[in-house]
Amino acid sequence: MERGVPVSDYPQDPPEAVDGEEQPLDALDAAILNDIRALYEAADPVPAGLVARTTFALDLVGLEDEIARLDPVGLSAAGARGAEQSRTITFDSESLTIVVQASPSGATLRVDGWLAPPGVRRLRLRAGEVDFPAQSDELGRFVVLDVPRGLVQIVVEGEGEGEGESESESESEGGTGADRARQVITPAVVL
Amino acid sequence: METTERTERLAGHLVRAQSGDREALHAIVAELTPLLWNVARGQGVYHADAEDVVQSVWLSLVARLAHIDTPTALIGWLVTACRREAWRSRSARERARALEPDRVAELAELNGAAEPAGDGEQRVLADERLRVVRSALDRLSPRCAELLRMLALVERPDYLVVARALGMPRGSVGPTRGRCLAKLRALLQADAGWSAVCP
Repeated sequence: MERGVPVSDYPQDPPEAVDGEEQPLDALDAAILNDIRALYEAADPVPAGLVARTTFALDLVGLEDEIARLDPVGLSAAGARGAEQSRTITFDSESLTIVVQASPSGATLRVDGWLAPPGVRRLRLRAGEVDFPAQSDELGRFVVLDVPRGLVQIVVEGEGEGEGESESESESEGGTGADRARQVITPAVVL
Repeated sequence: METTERTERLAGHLVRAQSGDREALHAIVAELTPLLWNVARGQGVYHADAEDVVQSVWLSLVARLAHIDTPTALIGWLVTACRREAWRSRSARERARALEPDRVAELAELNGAAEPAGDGEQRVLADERLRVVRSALDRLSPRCAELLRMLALVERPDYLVVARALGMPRGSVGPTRGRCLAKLRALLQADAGWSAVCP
């Protein structure tokens, strides 16, 4: 009947292989599937901020950029979330490891970071609407002060960009679009 | 019917997202994050880790977007990527647990990640009928329960691509779904606390 159509993305599969499609769901099956969906929506709902956090994180991602992953085990909290202690978060990408420690400083946060391999790189820390530009030193260290609590993302600019004009031969000015150097972008985390 | 609407909606968003429309990409994220959340949780990822898993999948989609032509292909790619990220997250936890059991347990607790997937579902459900569904699902094999959880979120043709992305061999999706549903249906019908509310 309709078989063949749904599998057009898998041209290697002959239509006959898509068995089960013919087994129709009756009204009772549909009612059961609705209940299963309702169950998981109630018992294990999508966290409220997840979509907003994701769309925030997606803002600056370009086609060529390198995505860093949060290392779940590199998370170390000296206190529960929101407590008056510092937290350390590790992000890993293909070329770079970014370790960030956020410590309360008055109403805001002081963020200490380290890049490995170390080197001078321009970067920015995005906190909500505000961008905090920073630069790592030869040892890969950087500091950002007065960071408001909330959603934070780190964007490390492409290698070479932090070392001044002399090094960036082929980079066109402004750094937009496809000829922009490859950034390393972390997911957005709540600090 | 609902799927057709969703498919059409996604197809439109996809075309616009490919041409750089961020709003369209956000709409795709809003539409399909529930599916990815359930994939990650169904794969046994901790609650707190699952948020990062889902976010990583979306971030890595950007580079792939140009090569994905249909909503079905999009869903297939997302579920496959989510499963891979889930595996990565779980194995990082497991490795760490083997090395430093005490520290990891402590950190997990501090990060609100103490509940593995499944435990969160033990929370008291206000709705008696959902409680019955919960306990019936618990009596199925974990494989069956996971499959039904996913298939409840997508309809044809997408459930095939989802099931395949979850590692079900081609050709066994339909029969397995049929078997799992039949079992669950028998359990529910035997329970006085459940009666079908037909959509």
